[in-house]
Amino acid sequence: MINTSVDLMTLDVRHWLKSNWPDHPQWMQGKEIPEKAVLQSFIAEFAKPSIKDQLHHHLRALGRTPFLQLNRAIAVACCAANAKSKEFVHIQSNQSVLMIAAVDLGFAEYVFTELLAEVRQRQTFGVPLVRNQHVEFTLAELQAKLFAFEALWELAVENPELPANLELFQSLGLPLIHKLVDQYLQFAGGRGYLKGHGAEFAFRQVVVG
Amino acid sequence: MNQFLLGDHPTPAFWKFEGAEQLRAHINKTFDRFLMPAAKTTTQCNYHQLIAALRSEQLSGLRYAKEKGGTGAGLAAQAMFAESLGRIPSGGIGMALTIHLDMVAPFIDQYGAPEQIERFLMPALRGEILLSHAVSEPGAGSDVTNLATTATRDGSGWRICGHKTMISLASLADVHFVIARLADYRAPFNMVNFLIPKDTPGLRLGNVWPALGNAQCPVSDIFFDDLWIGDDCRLGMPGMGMINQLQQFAQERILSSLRANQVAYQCLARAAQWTYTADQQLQTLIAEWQASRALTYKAMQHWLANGEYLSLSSSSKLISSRLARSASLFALDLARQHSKGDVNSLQTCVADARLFSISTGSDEMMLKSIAATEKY
Repeated sequence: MINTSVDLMTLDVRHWLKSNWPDHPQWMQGKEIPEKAVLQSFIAEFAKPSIKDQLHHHLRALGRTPFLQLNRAIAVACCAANAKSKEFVHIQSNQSVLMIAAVDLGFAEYVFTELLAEVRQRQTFGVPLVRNQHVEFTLAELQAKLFAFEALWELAVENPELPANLELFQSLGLPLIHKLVDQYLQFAGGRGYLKGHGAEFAFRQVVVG
Repeated sequence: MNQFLLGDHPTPAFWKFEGAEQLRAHINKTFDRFLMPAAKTTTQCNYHQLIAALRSEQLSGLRYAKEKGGTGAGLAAQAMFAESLGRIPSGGIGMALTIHLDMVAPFIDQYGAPEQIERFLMPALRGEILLSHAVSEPGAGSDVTNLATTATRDGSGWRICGHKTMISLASLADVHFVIARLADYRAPFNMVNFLIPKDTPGLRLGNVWPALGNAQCPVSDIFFDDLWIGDDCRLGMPGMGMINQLQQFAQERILSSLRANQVAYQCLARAAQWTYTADQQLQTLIAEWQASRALTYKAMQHWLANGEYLSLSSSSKLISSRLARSASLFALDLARQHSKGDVNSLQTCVADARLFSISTGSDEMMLKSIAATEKY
């Protein structure tokens, strides 16, 4: 499934990350993240009044990068920044839930993409890992859950007048992210266990960080 | 209970048509009058009478054009009908009506010649004939690519040999939809579909299989012993049988998901009365129900807009089927623990809901379908 507008926004966000912090791949190896500066830069770039209505989608695009903790901090900061504009206050609580869920959704999509690339590339018994029915079915199951989470989030974004429940998104999003990260580490094998690999970094952030 | 969790769910755009609320009320009222009593008896439901009754209330052919015997209300109205079927405490009745109205009848509507519309579709919508869907075979299940029943050209008709197994409604149906393999054709263009009346020489029915649930939708085998059928009973182009079938499966899965979500909702609404709101398992199931419903609506929306919906429909079927199973089991466990509710009806619900993951495309088929569509 292709979502063109979010895919384009993802390119925008990746371009922004690359231009402003070219050394961001090293963050995965333990280099300290300049959290405050990144956060301010993101808000300046993507939370401008002219494109504020797209902020949810930009946060989802931001979520499609490996830095879940940083991205969640940015989502919370965006909620606070929006709370300052009066017309946003009455639905601010609703928006906060959806902004944090946007980052979680994006991160789930990022891990799924990386996981898929990993099982296509790694070989076992002479064939790519994904040709193994257990692996294929595990991926399909995770993808179905991801579609469901995405559909619920989209429905909530399209209907801002209805209260979005934080627990609702947490009870769906967090187990999904845990399962995805766990499988990513499993299917990436020994290499995935080493510092600097996406699986190790994701597991460190989500499970043991 | 939080309204967003179990109740005040946003109405999808496709149900915002004029008269939608009145139609839903009419469907529910008609179901209460005709389907509910049938669901509560143990005697075999008379589907001819039931469909005729639905016809008298203008509900037996919502998605079909008026000139084909329908009401012309459209697919969105049919989706409302399908969702409301989940309210009926008998999975068998829901499944039988789905097979008749949403699996075989759409095929005749889409691929049938004008004579076939008149001969099969219009009487089916009036309740004069009942339709069954004969695809599954021993050794292939519902995997359409590996069917062994063969169809061979013979004069002005076709010779059919083979064995279909576990066919819902086979013992009650007047006409069977059958898919068969063509020799000398190359896959995937090697299947052909037929509508075969039950009294055709060479057609033999097996005994009704005793089953765990879905008592109102009996299953039995059908044998084709060198059966000859005229070309006027062929449905669609020879060779296109599988392609047409796969497309129809994807659509039917969405309607089946609407019904499964509604079954889950009925169970959760009952369970919510017997436990505290903060019950962790209840909260999780409600969240899953919300997501499953949103996914099914999204799939429906894509179908209506002629968009891409293959993955969405398989995912929706997978998620909603599993949810119907877990929600019904949760309600049954609570009823047993607290000695509340009608345990017998919940046992029936659990047994019936279990079939969502097995019939009309098992969970394994859905997983395979997602993997194939997403090109892993």
